[in-house]
Amino acid sequence: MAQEASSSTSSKTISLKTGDGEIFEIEASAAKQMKTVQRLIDDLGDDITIPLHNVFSKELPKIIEYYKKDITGEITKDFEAEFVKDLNDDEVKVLFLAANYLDANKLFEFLSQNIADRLESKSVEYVRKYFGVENDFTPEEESKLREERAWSFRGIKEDE
Amino acid sequence: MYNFHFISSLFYETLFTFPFPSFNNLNFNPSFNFMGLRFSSFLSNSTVSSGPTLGELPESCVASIIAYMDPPQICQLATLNRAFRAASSADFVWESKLPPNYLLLLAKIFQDFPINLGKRDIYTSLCRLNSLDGGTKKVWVDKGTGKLCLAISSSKGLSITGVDDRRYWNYIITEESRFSTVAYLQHTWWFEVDGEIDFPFPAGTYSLFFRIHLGRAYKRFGRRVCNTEHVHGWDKKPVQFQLWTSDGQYVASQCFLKEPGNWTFYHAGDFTVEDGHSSTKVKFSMTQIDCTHTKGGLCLDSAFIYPSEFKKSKAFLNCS
Repeated sequence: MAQEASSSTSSKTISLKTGDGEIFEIEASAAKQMKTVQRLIDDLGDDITIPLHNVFSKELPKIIEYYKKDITGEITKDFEAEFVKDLNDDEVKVLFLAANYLDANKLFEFLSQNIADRLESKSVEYVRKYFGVENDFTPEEESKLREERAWSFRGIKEDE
Repeated sequence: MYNFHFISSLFYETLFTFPFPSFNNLNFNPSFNFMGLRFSSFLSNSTVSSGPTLGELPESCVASIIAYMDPPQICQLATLNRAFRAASSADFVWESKLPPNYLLLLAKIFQDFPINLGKRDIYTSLCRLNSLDGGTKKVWVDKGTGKLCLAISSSKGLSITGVDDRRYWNYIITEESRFSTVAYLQHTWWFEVDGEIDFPFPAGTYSLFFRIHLGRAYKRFGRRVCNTEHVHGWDKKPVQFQLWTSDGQYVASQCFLKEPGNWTFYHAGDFTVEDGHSSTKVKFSMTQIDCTHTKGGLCLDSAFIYPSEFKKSKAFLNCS
């Protein structure tokens, strides 16, 4: 079991090993923001390289970049806009899945918002393809759904 | 063990192939494409891996994303699959969409509202055109924004000077209102309309409008025709608007009524509600009491209270 954090923890770094075998360092205080990592540290100790089977070298640096900013309190709207600006849809998805796996709440919420923004005003089919989701309703469930939708938000016509 | 989704693939379009990243998805089923049909396999080390798929995301993750969407879209996405349907009914998704003082609103609007209804059903109920005060008022939440709107009918909702004198005013039945009748003025010296409302508006800024039509519209052979023979006097002097709140806000303005033949929203003034936990009382009036001239030919539908941001976002409020 790891010892209670000493005063030197603030400058301590943790080694993380990705699923494809690369090693990255992060501040212990940043690691604290990722609950999965923190749980592994609590179980394995903070001197050991923490293995992250489901996160890979492509996305971990980006996540580390985000939390580096977070621990210094520098996350601004501009930074967040810049952070996602050049990411394509797949890269955002990968980061989102990684944030979920790492239980990194702040990043997870931010990416949830970003994905929702990317899907704003898009058709149902577009969203279906984006998530790679298949319709798993039975025909009875489908017709029940259609009934529900018929009465929900029964139209308030807006004035012309 | 392979899962072949032949049946479903007959009905659904083939899915795109995502670019292949250099990793394996170990915590859920990877998928691959074969002849345009999508299969998922339980192999943990497939040599051909497709792009990241969120399809097997737990419901809580789906809910987290859709919580940031607007209500109409959330409802649309309930048809995607079971996980989306479940996520789209999640209470926490709808909690954030409801007006903060929704419990107070429910108490005011409904006599016996079942309190153990899910938050989504509460939202849906509030979005309907709910009647207040014996049908003289209607209140609803705008489904896209979650903001509260209110309409006060000219038929017994507003207080119109001389409305009982059929020489001056009549009620006409119309389809062009949220209420079934509007008040029609043939002519008068003293034009005065007063109203008041006591309601727990959620915190925010609101704008009050009068919806007015110069001329009398009716259908002839299915076409809308407008009779403007009684329209007179509105170009001589402007109409005065005033608005008071119980916490001391006051605004006055004036403008000329124009545009015969069209329903127009005339902006009477704005008021701010600091705290949605108590009721806000608003009084308002519209007058043209210059007795040197008569005025007439006016249809008064109702007074509307909309969130002030609708002035920019809703085209129909593009008023004089």
